[in-house]
Order: sequence, then structure tokens, then C-alpha cells
Amino acid sequence: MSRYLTFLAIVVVAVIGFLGFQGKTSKQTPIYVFDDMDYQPKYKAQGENTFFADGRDARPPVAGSVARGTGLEPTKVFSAEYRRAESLNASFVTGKDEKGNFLLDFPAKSLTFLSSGELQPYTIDSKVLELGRAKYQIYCAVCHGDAADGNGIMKVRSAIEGDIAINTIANLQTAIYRAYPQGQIYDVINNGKNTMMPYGDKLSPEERWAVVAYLRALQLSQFSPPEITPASIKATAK
Amino acid sequence: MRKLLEFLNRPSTRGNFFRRSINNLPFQILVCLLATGAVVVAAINEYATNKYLNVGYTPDQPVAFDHSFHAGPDSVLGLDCRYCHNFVDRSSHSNVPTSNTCWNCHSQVKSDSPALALIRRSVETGEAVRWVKVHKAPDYVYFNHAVHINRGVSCVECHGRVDQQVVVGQQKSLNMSFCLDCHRNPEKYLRPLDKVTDLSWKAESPEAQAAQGTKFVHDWKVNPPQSCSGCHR
Repeated sequence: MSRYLTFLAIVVVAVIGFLGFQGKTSKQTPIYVFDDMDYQPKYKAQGENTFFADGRDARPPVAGSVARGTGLEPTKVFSAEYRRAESLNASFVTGKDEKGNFLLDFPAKSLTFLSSGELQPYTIDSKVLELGRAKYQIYCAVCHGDAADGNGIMKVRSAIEGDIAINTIANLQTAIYRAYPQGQIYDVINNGKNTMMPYGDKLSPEERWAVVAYLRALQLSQFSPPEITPASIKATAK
Repeated sequence: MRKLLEFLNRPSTRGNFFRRSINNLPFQILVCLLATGAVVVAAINEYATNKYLNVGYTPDQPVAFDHSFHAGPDSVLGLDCRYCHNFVDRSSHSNVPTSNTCWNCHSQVKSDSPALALIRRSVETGEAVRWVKVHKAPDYVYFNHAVHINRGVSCVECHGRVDQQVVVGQQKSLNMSFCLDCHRNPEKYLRPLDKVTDLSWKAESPEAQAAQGTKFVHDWKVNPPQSCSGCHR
């Protein structure tokens, strides 16, 4: 018995020595003893594909494709009467009017259909500003800073690394950006400007307008005209 | 035990063909079988589940992106998770960022770094960067990132403290009982929506978590499926 138990103890020590314990880090792809249908040969989001030359599962849309909807409601999307909100209210998506000039004010209509078939009017309320704040702090504050004064972490880091971004990040509290029409701010978010890359792929049209609204709030917080400044603030101002 | 051995070794009234110690044999066989059984059970428990097979999987990535430097409020840059994984709150799939996302900043900062060679090539030619997927659910599991993120399930619950990892590795088992722990008791895990990407956030106490979790379950009508078809569609 003692011989067998010694043998068993040696086996245990050998197995632990070879396999280690739970939580051991490894660069090896995990082993699947019974992989059942864990890996199915189907196309997946951002999947790898050996059939296509670019190695991607995702296929780019054919040039000139026009989006008609999300595909969640195919009967609706493919009916002859179907109109996409974006096609009825293009300036909400582009930030420009029919003549191609930047919208001076926020768009009048949103992209939401009322039950009557009309588009709902677009209004800036606290909900829109909250959305704008959330998105601004994720995507914009990195460079432009929490107060839109151009002192984001990018500026701090490029000062340390000696990179050019320190000269190129815009201070949005300057007069030139305060004078931008709403549509032009929207267009910069959508398409980028100079060294700023476009953020249209990260923000939906509603979110872009919300960011424009929040940026205006930030600008007002620093340069509030006397006629709209509350008396309590005026009293404490130097 | 001694009495048992004495009983087994009691003087025989008949002629002895075997050594007396042979009387211990059934006992010895039993001990060896039990010891072997215990070792086998312990080995299966330790090695045959995701906790051993998958946890700790830390592959090398084509570009050595350091999450602990870039991501999370406590990091150097303090980027939100969603700056790069920007579809996580509106898609079932949480995307690996496009190379353009890297280039938003790196066109200006350290753009000539050799560490970014693959990203630079990808931006110039459109060639994909072959990131290695770390957290894998089996293909018969339909996990939707957006519904979890938008209902107060933090990234940290499944991915662990990615904001502290230099190289991303799997920290949680992600097996089915792991999913069900939360689906059966969501109030233990739900958090305020603005803290979802704050991986270091914790409620002040388990009681505070239970109280606010119960409120969130009620207010947001959280009803996680526990039936098979909830996830295996």
C-alpha cells in the first residue's frame, strides 16, 4: 500500500509541476477537449476569413449603396412607401441646408417620426445636454479638455513627448469658435478639420447635435453675455 | 480502527494458507481506491473546467497596446473604454477599434514609433490588423454587449480589471454557471449607468449594493433570462 501511495503522490506532484494551478497565464490557445459546436464556420463580426483577399468576414458596401434601414423590419424597409427619416431631413445628417451652407441654428426637425408621419421637432433639453456631456467627455475632452479650452490629456502628453499636437489642438473658448454656426461645429465633428480626424463613425447624428449643444453650454459657462448672466453670478464675478 | 485490525488479524481456527498480513488486503485496497478517487476528483475539479483551461489566456497581440497606460480613469491618459470600443453600447458585438481610432491621436503623438508600424500600414493601405481575440464565448451563445452595458452591467464583471493589464488576458471563467450567477441574482452586480466603464468602482458595502441593485432591477425592469433559449438561440 505504501508503495502505491508513494507512487500516487509522485504522480500528483508531477501533474502539478507540469500543469500548474488555476489562473496560470499562458500564451497558448485554450485547449478544447470536447469542442462540440464552440467554433462554427460562420461569418462573425470582425471575423477572419481566408476566402476574401482582405482577410475579413465583413464585406464593404458596394460603391454607391444607399442605406434604407437597419434590416430589422424588412417588410417596412422594402415597401414602396417607405421613407428613411434621413432622406426627409438631410440637413440633420449633414449640418448643411439645401444650398450647402452651414445651418446657423440647430435643425428644426429631428429624425424621429410622430404617429402622424411627420418628423418630430428637434428641441434642446436637459436630456440632450446630458447626452452631449457624456459623449463630449468620452470623445472630445481627450484633446479639447473638460472645459473646451484645449487642455486635454493629449496636450499634456504631447508637451512631455515633444510632439506637434501641442500646437494643433484648438481652444474652443476663443472667439473664432464661438462665432462658428451650429452647422459648422457639427460638420467638424462629422468630417474632422485639419489634424482632427472625423468622429462621424463614433457618434450618431443625434449625438453629434447633442455634443454641439453641450459645447455651446461650455462656451457660455466661460463667456456669458451680461444680458443672460444671472444676478447671483454677476455679484460674485470679479 | 485498532479493533477492526485485531478482528481481521484474529487467530484462525483453521489451517493458514496465506500470511496473516493478507487479512489487511481488503482494507488496503479500499484505502488505495479512495486515495485514487480523491486525486482524480481533485484533478478534474482543478483542470477540466474553464477556470483552468481558459483563465489566464494572455496571447501576444500584433501591436503591443498597453491598456493600463491608455484606459480607465486611473490610467495615465484616462480614456473611457468607449473611446475605442465605441459600438459596445449599441451593438451586440463590442468592436475592436479601427486603425483610424488609433490614428485620431497617434497621427500627432509618437506617429513614427516602430511599435505602431502595423497601425501605420493599416491606415495607409486599409489592411486589417490581426488582433487576437481573447474572450471567447462559444458560437452557440448569443451574448449581446449593448443590453448589458445599457442596464448597468460593468465591463469589469466579465473582463476583470483590463485597465490594470499591460497585456490583456482572460480573468473570469466565462462558463455557463458564471453567467447564471448574475442572471439569477442581478441585484448583486448592477451599478449606476455612469459607472459602467469605471472599472474600479464598488458600492460602499454589500448592503448598499443590494439596496441599489434591487432598485435598478425594479426601475429598469431587469429580467435576465434563465431559460436555455435566452442565450442559446
